Amino acid sequence: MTNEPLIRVQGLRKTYVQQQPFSRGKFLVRALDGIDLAIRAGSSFALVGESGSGKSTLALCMARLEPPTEGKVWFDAQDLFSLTGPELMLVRRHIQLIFQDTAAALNPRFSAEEVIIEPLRIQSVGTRAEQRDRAVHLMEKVGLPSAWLSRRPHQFSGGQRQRLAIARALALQPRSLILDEAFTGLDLSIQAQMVALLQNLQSLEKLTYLFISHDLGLMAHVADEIAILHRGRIVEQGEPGRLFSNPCQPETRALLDAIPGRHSALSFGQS
Amino acid sequence: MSRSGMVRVAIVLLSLLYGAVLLAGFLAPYDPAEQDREHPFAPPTRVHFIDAEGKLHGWPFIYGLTPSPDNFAEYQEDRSRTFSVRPFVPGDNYSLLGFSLRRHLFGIDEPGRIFLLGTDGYGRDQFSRLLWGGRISLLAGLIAAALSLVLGMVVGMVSGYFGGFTDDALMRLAELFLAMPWLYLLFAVRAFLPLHISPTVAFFLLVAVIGTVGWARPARLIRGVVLSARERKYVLAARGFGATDFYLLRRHILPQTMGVFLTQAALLIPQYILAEVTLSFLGLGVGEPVPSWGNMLGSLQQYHILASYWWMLAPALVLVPVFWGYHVLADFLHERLEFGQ
Amino acid sequence: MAYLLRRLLHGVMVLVGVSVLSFLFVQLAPGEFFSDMRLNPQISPETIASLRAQYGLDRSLPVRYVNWVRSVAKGEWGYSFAYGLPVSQVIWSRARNTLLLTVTAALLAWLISIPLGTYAAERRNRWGDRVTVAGSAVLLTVPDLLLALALLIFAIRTNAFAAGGMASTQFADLGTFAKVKDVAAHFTLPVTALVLGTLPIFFRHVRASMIEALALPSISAARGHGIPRRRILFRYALPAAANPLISLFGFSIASLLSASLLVEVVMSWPGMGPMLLEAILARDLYVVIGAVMLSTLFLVAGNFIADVLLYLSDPRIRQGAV
Repeated sequence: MTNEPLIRVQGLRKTYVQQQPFSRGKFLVRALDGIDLAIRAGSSFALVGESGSGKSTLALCMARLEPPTEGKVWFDAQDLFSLTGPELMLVRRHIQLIFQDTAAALNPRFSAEEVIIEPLRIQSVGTRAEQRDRAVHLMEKVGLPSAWLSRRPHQFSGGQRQRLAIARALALQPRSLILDEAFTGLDLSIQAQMVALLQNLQSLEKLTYLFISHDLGLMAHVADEIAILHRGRIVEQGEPGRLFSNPCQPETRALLDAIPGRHSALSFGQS
Repeated sequence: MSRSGMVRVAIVLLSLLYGAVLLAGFLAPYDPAEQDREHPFAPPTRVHFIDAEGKLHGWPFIYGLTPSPDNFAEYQEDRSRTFSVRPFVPGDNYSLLGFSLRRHLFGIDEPGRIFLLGTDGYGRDQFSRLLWGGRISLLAGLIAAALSLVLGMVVGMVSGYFGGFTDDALMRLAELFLAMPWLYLLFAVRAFLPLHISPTVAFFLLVAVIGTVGWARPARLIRGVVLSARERKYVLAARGFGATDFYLLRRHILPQTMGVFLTQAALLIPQYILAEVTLSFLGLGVGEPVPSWGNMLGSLQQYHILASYWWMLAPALVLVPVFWGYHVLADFLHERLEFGQ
Repeated sequence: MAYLLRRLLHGVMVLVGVSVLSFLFVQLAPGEFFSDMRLNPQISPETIASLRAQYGLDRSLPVRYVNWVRSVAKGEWGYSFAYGLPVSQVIWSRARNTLLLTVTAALLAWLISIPLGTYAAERRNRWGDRVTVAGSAVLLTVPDLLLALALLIFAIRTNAFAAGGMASTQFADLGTFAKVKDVAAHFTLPVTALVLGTLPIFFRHVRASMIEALALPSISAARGHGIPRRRILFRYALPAAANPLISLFGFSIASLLSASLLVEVVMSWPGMGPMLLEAILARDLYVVIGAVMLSTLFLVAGNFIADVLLYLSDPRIRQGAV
């Protein structure tokens, strides 16, 4: 295993112009103000911050869904934003995004099967029969009955929809998943199930995870390394244990304080 | 009557009307251009089952028609002869689906004439003309609406999806088209095209004019749908898989526009049928000798005809069920669009 | 205030845009349009020559457009070949008649539909509501043309109202009051046709807006305080419904203008409608453009009036929150 990180972000900046609704002025919004990251292959990295800290913008940039104003993103030593054509299509397979709003992330008119095989169709992978088999295989992998392939997303519960989204993300056999607030809005027990599923998949498929969340407590359970994001910058970074016992920055402390029942979190978070 | 019951009735009604005009050749006893100079403005023929002597006939029958002795403009039934209404009678040639046929649904032996809806100033059978004219008017409405909708769809999708300067420019253009009262706009475009043209050319010209002029409202509405569909997370996800713009438009956005498309169709078709009728009525549309509901009403601009010969209103009266049917459909689709989804 | 100025500027730009568009429509005409004019015996060769010089008839589009704009600035709005007069003289009296008809019809339609719609909204789903809604649905399915023709037949048969034209033949001999009565008599039929045509749409909208307004919590609170029904309607419900209704007023001008075109022709009311038709058949180019521009002007003006009313009635707009 090389020491070169799978994903590297260097000097990422994203600013955009926003029009004030009631006045004539426009002002610049600095969503990302110089981000540097390195994520090792097979690890789980977490980005934690409050709303408005730029988390989702970062996710979109790293998935090459939004161009940054400045900076670079490297995937497997390739400059993500200079790729085009078939090379880009190949790299796109390896970075998949899971969204927070499960209902919005799946086209309500599609059947579960169509949802899962959509990436295969877009990238023209396999015959119809092969795609169908793959759909069955993926459903089972995420723990959903393959008989439900003909159902529509609205017939699934929130947690089940998220599993469906994960199945779709796995269709192209990616190397990394970016999970943007993937657990927010789910019941605690469902959250626990999802965490278990993801950890299982990570060892099976050798995946690299980037979690984005505001829930520092939960991230402590799943991440090997956490970075605290505040107003478009990383203010602190480190292993969960160190952050919890020795937070340096006020923003980190604020997030820690926001965890309900903090002391219990401390004792659990050490494993 | 329940809402879904009304919708079913509306669909059946419209299908019957469209079916009837498509089978105009078969259902109409006479050729629409055939004149009977001896019977101008004849009232609708009365069909009897029981004759003057009180005898019941097996088939319906009619009497001959002679001008009344004291008033040449009126007619009397000539009870000396009866003519049976016969089914599947051979008559004038007509073509249906490329076949040249001669059988008509019903007819009368010579020299009897059956004018179910009376005749016009040239003695032409209004019933036959109503059927044949319906083809022109109903089809013109349909094709023009299709044209408007396709144009509107293309503009709406391009404008909404790609945004930017194209969007601005197209929407400002739409605003200009919508700023003019629609009938004035229609007239303005029609004004500068050749006046004296053959009925076939007139038909296509009319359809083209009515259709192209009405692109703006559908375009705006479709653009709205595209704008919201474009931002959906599943579209973003598909882009993450490497989807092209074309794929996204075809697979995700286009299906979302279907609701608006259908509702607009139900609203536009009756408007466009009326537009054809209005233009032909005023002499700017399809002209003689091809009948259309519009030009059939044209003679009613003379007050004495309007007041004396009520059966000439038939083309206007038949618009009522057409409008009703489309209104019911439009209401139904509109509600389904708002709440179904 | 800035809002109103912006709307005004916007209206002016629309008018300019429409004028350019109209001229572009003229481009549709193949060369035959102008050769048609040469064949027209009413237009002498000298007239054609001088017109060509003044308006650049056979010249390119931008030249023609500029000449026309100059003519508008002079107050002439181009030249009518059929009448031999500046277009403005030909159109103006007709435009007045059309305005008379449309404004009266619009006011009447509103005056009837607001109480009627409120009545239906209050008695929602009860007998009164169902009857009026059904009645309006019936009217809605009758196309304007049929409505106009039917009214004409009724008038002719019963001799109840003067049918056709704007004045009787002895008009000039009548005293002033009798003149007004005469015009009013001729006026009734077209106005009735227009009102009947637009009433169902207005009614529907008023009813819908009032239903929404009456469902507001502020109304239940007012009722709970024992405020009498009339006061609730006028001081609470109607103002809440005012915004969509005033906007509708703006939109309705467009459909009224189109409807009036047809009604005027059918009932021989000397408005812009028959004039436009005449001009088309006589290939009177500048009259056609003038009529289209004027009708658009009325529409834009109507919308602007609606904007002003909205500005005055809705405090949110005044504060620039919209």
